[in-house]
Amino acid sequence: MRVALVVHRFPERSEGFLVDHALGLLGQGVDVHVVADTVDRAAVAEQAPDLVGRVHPSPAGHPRRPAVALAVLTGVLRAPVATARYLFASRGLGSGRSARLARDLPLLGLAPDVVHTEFLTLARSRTHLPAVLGCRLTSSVRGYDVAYAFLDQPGAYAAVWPALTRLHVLGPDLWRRAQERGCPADLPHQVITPAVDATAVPTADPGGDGPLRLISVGRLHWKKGHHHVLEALARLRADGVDASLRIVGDGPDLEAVAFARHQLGLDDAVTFVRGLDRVGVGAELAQAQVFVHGAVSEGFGNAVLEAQAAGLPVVTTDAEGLADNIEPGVTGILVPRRDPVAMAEALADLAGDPRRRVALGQAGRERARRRFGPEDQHAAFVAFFAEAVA
Amino acid sequence: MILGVLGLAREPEPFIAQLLHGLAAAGIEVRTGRRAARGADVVYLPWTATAVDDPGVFDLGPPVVLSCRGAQVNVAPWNPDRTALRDGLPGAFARAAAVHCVSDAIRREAAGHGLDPAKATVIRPAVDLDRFRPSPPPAPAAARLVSVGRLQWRKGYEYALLALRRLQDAGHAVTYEIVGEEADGGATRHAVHDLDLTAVVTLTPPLGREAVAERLGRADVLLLPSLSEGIANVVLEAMACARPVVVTDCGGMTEAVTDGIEGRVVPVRDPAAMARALADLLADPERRRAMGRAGRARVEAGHDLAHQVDAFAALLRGVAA
Repeated sequence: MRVALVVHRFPERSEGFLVDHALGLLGQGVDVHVVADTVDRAAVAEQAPDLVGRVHPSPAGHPRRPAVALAVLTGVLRAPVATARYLFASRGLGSGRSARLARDLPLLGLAPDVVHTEFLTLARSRTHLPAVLGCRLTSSVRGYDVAYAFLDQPGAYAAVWPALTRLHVLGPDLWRRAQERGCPADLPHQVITPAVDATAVPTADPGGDGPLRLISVGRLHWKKGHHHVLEALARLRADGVDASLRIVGDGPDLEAVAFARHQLGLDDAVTFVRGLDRVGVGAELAQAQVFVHGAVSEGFGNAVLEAQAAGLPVVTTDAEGLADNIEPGVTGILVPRRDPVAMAEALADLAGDPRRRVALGQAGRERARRRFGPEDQHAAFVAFFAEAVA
Repeated sequence: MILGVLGLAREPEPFIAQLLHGLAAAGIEVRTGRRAARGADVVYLPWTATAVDDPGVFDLGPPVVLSCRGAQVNVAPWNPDRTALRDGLPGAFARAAAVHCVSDAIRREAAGHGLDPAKATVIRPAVDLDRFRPSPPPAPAAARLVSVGRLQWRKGYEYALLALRRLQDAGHAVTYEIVGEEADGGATRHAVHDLDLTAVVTLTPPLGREAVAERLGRADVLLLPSLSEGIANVVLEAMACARPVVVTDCGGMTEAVTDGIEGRVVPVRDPAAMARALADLLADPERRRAMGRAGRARVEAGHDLAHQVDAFAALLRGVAA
């Protein structure tokens, strides 16, 4: 079975799960390929040598005429039958055909059984693929897709649903939200949660006395709600709890978070740690005592799962999939999103109770190992694609 | 006298265009572009960052006057990726002949970045009192809150929406319109949906000044939930329209609004306090009218466009002499 995974950029530092996903499928015997708008070949060779030759750039935008001619020629030479069928079948598809052909060219040569878009937004411009490639189209639904993309366009996914054979969701909450965005209730769907390789994450020691060491891992982006965490930290410290925070991540909203740090008087208590790879993030987790997550929108939260795998107690908001991610009261504490008062209270509880921190952390590590193992996830995806072509 | 202006946006912000227009009417010849600046009596930089990004302006010959307006002085310097701006401010202030600050608060911030207070002149923003005029207060079924300003994190709309959620939960009949360009990657729109406020919140694309004046006239309260400001022009405009204002205590806002007189001043990042202040005003139409009148009187006395232009012209002529 040949599956083509469609992504934006590959590999993307903040989306390491996509590399794991592709490698996992490959390990299960799926003939997996990755098609991305932007490909970093050097990074593929370094991070996932097994995927070399399986990652294909697929130019977005409107190519110039010679590029399209070259694309057609390449298609005819490499995959004459598929190209002829594609050109024949896309007769009636109207404008943008040349740009589409240039972008679809890698798929023509691959002739996959399934094209799987890793974000639902990516499926919007690919609804024609089943007809022109004779393949099945499946998609993942992530938080971004249904929580805030195209909120101003109610019909944004109207053409997507009928084109899909099967839908992957990260958890029950996203399935509910997909239906709110128009997904038919009878569209076959499968819940497959993210996974974490607990053996690859170093273990933290969340107990001990002294000033509390907090960590947040997440892109510097409004959806991660770092400013709410900083507001909670300011309250915590105002209540006499000595605590510091390391924010691990890169992103477009550094200025907003840095300003919040300054305005809240936290310049000495909060450190930005940027440019880390996964090993570096693991090392940061191992040094912390509590993982805190302020997201206002979060499909599932891989970083929260990794924190549990590291044996850290978690204080997180209830945004979307996060309530399915931790086990509230057992591996961490769930607080309402945008509620720094509640978050500060939860942090204060943990600050004063090292034994509880250790207990929550151990339960988290156990939960990550038992419930979120990579093998189970890979097997579930193989079943997902097998169902799609059945 | 010839004024050479550098660092203007292709389409200058309305408040800068208004100032330059006023200076021209006061007999100052305003020219733009580097060549014109070289032969000018004074070079004027409306934006602080121009002096740091383009230090060659100090070598053109004429004395340089620059403005400190807001984020480039009180936000960007705290950004770890803008250390070049932070480190460049003291040198720029040292080489400038004079520095205009839009508020005392901004002057204090700038002093923290090396500005000699003796070199600073505070001239607060002004409003066109003929364009923004009082009109009879509206009497809609649901009270109308309005904010005007680009949708970006500095404007703090998320906190306004949290306050609105509290008002809704407390049973207040209220609607809220935010007028401005969406430049926040969907954050505000997400918050509207996430807080279940789609029925009462409208996001309106940017409007011209006439339409803004009309919107302010229809509003019961102008809300400014910002995290950071110099002095927000729209607050002065709402006051000129005799509308009560609820503003956060940031930048120089308390230099234009006194809590309890022209409106209410609440702490930044405090939706509960904002909701309480709004609820008080919504319950008391007579108080809203009184605050509106006080607001009009205050901008007439202290934020008249003619006075602002006179003060600015005096500052520039003093430097040229």
